Amino acid sequence: MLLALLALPSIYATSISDGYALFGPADFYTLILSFALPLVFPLIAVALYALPFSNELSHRYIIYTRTRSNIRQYLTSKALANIVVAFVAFFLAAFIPFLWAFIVEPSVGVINPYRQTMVGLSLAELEAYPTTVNTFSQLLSIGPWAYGVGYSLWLGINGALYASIGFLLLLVVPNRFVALSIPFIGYHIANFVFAVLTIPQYSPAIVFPFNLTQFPLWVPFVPFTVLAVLTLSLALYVRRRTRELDVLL
Amino acid sequence: MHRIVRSLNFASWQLALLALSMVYGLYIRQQSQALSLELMAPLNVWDHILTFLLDPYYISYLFVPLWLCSSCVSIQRHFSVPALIRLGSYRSWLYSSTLHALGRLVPLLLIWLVSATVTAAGLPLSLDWSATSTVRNPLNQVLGIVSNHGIPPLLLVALQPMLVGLTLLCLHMVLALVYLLSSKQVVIYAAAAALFLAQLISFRNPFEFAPFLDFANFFLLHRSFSSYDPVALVFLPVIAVIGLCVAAVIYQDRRRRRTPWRLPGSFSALLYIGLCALGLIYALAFELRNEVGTPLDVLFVAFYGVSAAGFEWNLYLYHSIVFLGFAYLFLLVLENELKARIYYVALRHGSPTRWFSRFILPVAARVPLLLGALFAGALLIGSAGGLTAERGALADLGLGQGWALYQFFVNGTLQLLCYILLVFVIGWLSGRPMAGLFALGGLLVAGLPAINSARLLPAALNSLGYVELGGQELLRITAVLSAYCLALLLSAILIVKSPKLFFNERV
Amino acid sequence: MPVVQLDKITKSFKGTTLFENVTATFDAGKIYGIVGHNGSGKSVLFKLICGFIVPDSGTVTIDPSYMSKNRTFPESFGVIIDRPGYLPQKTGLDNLRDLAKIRAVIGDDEIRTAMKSVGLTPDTKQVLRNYSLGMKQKLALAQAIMEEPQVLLLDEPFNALDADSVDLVRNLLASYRDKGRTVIFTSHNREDMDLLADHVYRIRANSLEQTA
Repeated sequence: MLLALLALPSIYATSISDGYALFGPADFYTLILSFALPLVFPLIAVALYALPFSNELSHRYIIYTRTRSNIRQYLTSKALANIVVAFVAFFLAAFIPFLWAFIVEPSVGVINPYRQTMVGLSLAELEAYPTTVNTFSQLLSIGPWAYGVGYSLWLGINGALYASIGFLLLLVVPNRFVALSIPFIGYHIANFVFAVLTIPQYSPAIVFPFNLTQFPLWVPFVPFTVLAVLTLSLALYVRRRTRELDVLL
Repeated sequence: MHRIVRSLNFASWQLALLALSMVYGLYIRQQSQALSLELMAPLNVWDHILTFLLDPYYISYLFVPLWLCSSCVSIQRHFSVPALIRLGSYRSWLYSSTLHALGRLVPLLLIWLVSATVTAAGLPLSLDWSATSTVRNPLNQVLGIVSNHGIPPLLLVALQPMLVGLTLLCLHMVLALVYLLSSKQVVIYAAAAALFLAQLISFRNPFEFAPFLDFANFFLLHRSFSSYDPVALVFLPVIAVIGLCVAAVIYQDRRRRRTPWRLPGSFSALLYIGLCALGLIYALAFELRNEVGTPLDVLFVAFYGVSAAGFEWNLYLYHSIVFLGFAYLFLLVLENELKARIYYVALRHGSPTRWFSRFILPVAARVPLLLGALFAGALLIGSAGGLTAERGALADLGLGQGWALYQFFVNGTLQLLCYILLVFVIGWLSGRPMAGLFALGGLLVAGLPAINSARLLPAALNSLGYVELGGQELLRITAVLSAYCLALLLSAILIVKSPKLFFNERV
Repeated sequence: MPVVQLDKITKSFKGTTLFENVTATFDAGKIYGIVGHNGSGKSVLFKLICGFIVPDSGTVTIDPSYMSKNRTFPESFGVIIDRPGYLPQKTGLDNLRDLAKIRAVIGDDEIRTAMKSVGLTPDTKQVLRNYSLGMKQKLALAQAIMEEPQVLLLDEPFNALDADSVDLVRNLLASYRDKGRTVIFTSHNREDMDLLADHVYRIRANSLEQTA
């Protein structure tokens, strides 16, 4: 069922591809990933592991695990599991469409042939076009696998980051619903605020850079680094105050 | 006078008013038909209905004095020390009194509308203005003005009672405040008399130098058209007075309790308001970049959302933050009810249905307030930003502002109600607020034009980007949203009426 | 007319039969104790009486004076159901104020009186989240009695209470009976039954037997 869900964006994009002018697998890949996933990405990230974990907190199950094992070790193992699950899920969420768009579909030929010309672009420019579509497509100049694996790793790491944020917030915010909704709500609010400030390339939405012009590869790592530092600080806070956290008592 | 009115049976009073209105309606019809003959142009139902609804004599000599009188009686009846203790504050008392007033107002407006409609029976039906309405002639002063502003007659039939209703509620709140401050019968009746005289004078002599002091502007749309452009601005002074009344009672409460001032509302509500304002400013900046626009264009751009052709991420994001954000705030409140506490709450309400109505109705009542505030905010920000062009984005698209307002208010209300009810049904059935949040995520995706190309899913259908599809399509959207609202409301009622579903796994 | 009349009540819950053809009467001005092992259906019985759940067959009849028109749940009933019902981010006083606002028959004074009568400090800034189990139980009691109900349905009201508080609550319930009101409570403690209950019912083999 999970695989079916991961394949859903590819299936959907394939079914509607006729209505779009696609110039190659890179365009098709962009089409697959730019629909629903950018909108609900943080929601899925917390749903994978942090949401079930929140039940342990709400039913006070964790009180009884504390008497049986070291709470820090317990939480660390839970956090790692959360990271791994989220990373794998989002890596596959990007890699499966890559395989479909770049490997499987060109062999099978399900969608209409790609356009061969583009107004205003010479043949040489058209050949270089896929590497200029959006941020990360620079990797296509190395090769499609570099792009596919590279972007999948990027999405996997960000998925793990947002899942970690949700997990850690569960330990510090008393209201579990609010804790789990903060990544989703914060993501969209931040995207909007950065758009208003006309610096969307530094917004959280750069995880899915498909609706922005291409930026240098280091640009997405700016918001990523800020978020990673905040998450790490939160993790350190939780680690230091484990014994005093209200939600664990 | 007080005792006379009290002794009357309320129902027979309404029947008498209905009978009188019907007779007057027949007289108006006679006048309309005479005008049609004079102008040698055919008429339709709107000639009669709107002439009735915009008749100054009916409003100033019957409606307003009746309302002022009944408000005085009602306010005195409800203002007592035990009531103030029970309600806890002057503000709660004002709200309670206004709610009672609303209960009196709705039948009056219905009588008015029913009389106008019933006495129009037999006249040709149409969705548009008749030839008689559009003739600019000294004999056709009322309809000649309103029909030439690009607003469909159906919308005017909705706007006129809305304006009159809001103004009457405003007058009630003013009288309530006066009584609260004075506690004297003679003062409230004197205030009512002063208001009656003021509106009578303004009906006969327009105050062109100060339109916000001209009572007739707030009772007669054809007068509003002459004084306010766009006409929707006429609601602003009324809303401002209502706001002043509320501020005055809050001040009285704090003076009584000597409590310090603090920011009202929770952090999430304040954040929401801030984001709404930010988005409107963003729309202005976006609009100013193009240098052409009217204040209404700020509204159009800000709430553009999606269109049939596609969408711009930032605008869709803002649209979602405002409308789905409202549903999220509702979810935060719903979360408190999704606990075992519901037993104690439901027991006190007496029945799950009563709990539901007391829980949902205040939320539903906030929907038009939100839309009104957003509308007012857009116009204010647009005006403050110096947008005064006669033509803007809406006009460039060849659209009347009427359909944009219809899409914003009518479909906007229905869309928000859909969101609230959907969140309620899903959250309640699952017993988990996270399910409601997932529903909001689903709606965010479902609003995309690629997903909702047939415009059959109840997501982002109130986008102003759909205005370019024309009035027929907007009416179809109304039908779709109404159907969803009805289905969701029925589902909610079924849930509430079933003890198994209402108490869910809390049992 | 009895306050509560159960007539041939049958109720199964998630495949388990809890009650079969149970008939019982609860009259005004008395204290009834109900005993039964864990999972026997004591909480379900209270929910049946309040109307929160409906029996599979049989009828629950409440004295009409408590069931005015359009009510599904009886009026003037104070209840404690098995799970606590409060908002963890608010203080005890604020929680009770929120509940009291619904019927709006009492003000702050009555709420404070109820809290003090069960041994709670009304003006503490402590939020519910940080209350001990005993304090939460006392708050549940305060919630049940604050509106001066005529009938009290209390599911294990003495749970987690210290000895002094137990005495306080026993005296409170006894005073209720003296005022002609009805109390139905559950407890595992024999002493509570002996000291308070005029009649004791035992839930055994899916039925309700009067033992004393």
